[in-house]
Amino acid sequence: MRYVSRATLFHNLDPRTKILMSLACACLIVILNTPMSLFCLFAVLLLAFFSIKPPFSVVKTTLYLMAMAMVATVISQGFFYYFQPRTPLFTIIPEDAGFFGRLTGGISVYREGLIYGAVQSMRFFSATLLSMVIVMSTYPSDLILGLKKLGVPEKIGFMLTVSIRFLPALGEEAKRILIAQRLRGLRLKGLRGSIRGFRFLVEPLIIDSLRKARRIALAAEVRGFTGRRTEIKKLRFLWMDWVALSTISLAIILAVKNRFYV
Amino acid sequence: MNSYISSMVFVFILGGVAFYVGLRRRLIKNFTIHELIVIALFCSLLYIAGLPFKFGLSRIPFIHSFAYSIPFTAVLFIGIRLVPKLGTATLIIFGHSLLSQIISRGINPLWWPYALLAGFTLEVYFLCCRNYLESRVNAIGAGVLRGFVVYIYFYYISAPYIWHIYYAPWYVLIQTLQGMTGSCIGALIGFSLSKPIISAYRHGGL
Repeated sequence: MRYVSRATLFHNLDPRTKILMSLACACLIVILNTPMSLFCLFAVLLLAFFSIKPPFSVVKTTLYLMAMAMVATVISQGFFYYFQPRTPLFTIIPEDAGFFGRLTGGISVYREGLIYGAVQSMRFFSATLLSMVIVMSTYPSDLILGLKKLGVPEKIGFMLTVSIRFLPALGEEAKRILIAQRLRGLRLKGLRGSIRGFRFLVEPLIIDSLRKARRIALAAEVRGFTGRRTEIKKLRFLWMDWVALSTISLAIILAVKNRFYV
Repeated sequence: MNSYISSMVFVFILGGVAFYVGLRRRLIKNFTIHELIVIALFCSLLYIAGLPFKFGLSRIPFIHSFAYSIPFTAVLFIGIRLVPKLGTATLIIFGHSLLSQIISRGINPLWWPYALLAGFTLEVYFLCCRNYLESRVNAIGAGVLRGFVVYIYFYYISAPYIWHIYYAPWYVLIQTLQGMTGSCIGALIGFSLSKPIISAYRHGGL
C-alpha cells in the first residue's frame, strides 16, 4: 500500500483530522456490536475507500484480503465459539479421544460460531478499509508531522522519518547482497538453504546499514542538527476538517449512547 | 472493555515504574543522534523481517507464532545489544509498530499499549537483572519473557477487546508456547549474530 496522488476530499483533509478520525473509527469498531451497525460502518468506509479513486490492482488486493480475513475469522470462530447456546455441526476430536481430546475438551465446529465469525469479519473489513483510506490519501511525512503536532515526542518523529528513508535502501541492499552471494555459489534452496541464506544476509546487511547510519549521523552532527524539525509545510485546519471531526464525534456519541444507555 | 482499560492503566504504570527507577539509578541517558539513527534502522529492519511472514508464511496454519517470533526477536536483540541503554527496547518496538501503522496498517492508537507493553516488560527485566543482554542466559530469559507477555496479551486482551475475537484456552496455550520457543530461538540467533556485528561496530570495521 502506498500514497496515491489524487485530488479528493480525503486527500485535502489535514493529517491531524485523519489521525483523529482513525482513532474514532477504531473506537467505533470496538463499541459497535450489532450486525446492522457493523454493516453500516463497513458501508460508510467502503464509500470512503472508493471516493479516493483507488487503482484497480489495489481494489483487487483489497477484495482478496477481505476474502482471506472472512474465511479465517469464520473458521476460527466456528472452532472457538464459547458463548451459550451453541449447536455443534460436526465434531473433529471428541472429548474422550486421548490426550488432545482431554486437553482441548473436544473440538467441534459450532453453527453460531460460523455466524459470529461472519459478523465479526465486518470489523476486519472496516479496519482494512480505514487503513487503506488513510495510507493512500496521506504522505507518510505528513502523517509524521500530524503525529508530532498531536504531541508525539520529536525524537520518535525523527526516528520514524529516518526509518521510512531506510526502507527502500534496505530492500536494494538486501537484493545486492543476495545476488553477490549467488554469484559466489551460495545455494539457497530448501529449508536449510533458507536458514543459511538468512544468516549470510543479516550480517552484511546490518553492518552495511550501520555504516550508512554512521554517515548520516556524522552529516547531521556536522550541520548542527539537534533533532528539532523545521516545517516547510504548515498544517492548517479548514472548514472540511471541522465538518469531518463533528460528524465522527456525533457518530461516537450515538454509538456510546446506543451501546451503554439504551 | 474494562479489562482492556485496566490493561492500559497497567501498561502505563509498568512504564512509569521502569522509567522512574531508571531515572533514579541514572540509567536513562540521552540518546545521541547516531544512536537514534541506529534505532531507526532497527525499526526498519524489524519491518523487513516481518514481510515474508505477512506475505506467505502467516498462511501456514497453527505455527505462525513460532515462525514470526524467530526473526523478530533476533533482529530486536541485535538492536538492543548495539545500543544497550534503558529505553532502546521500547523505542525499537514502539517505533516499529508506528512505522508499520504509517506504512501499511493505518494509525490505530488502540494497538499502542500492545507495543508499549512488549517494550516496558523488557525494560523492567533488564533493570531487575542489571544486564542488557550481555549474557546468553539473559538473552534467553528476555526472549522467553517477550514471547509469554506478547502472546498472552494478544490472545486475552487485544484480540477479544479490539476485534471481539475469542480463542479457546488450549489454543492460546499452544500459541504462547510456540511464541516463547520461537522467541527463545530468535534470542539465541540474535545473540550469536550480534557478536561479529558489535565487533565491527566498535572496532573500526565500519
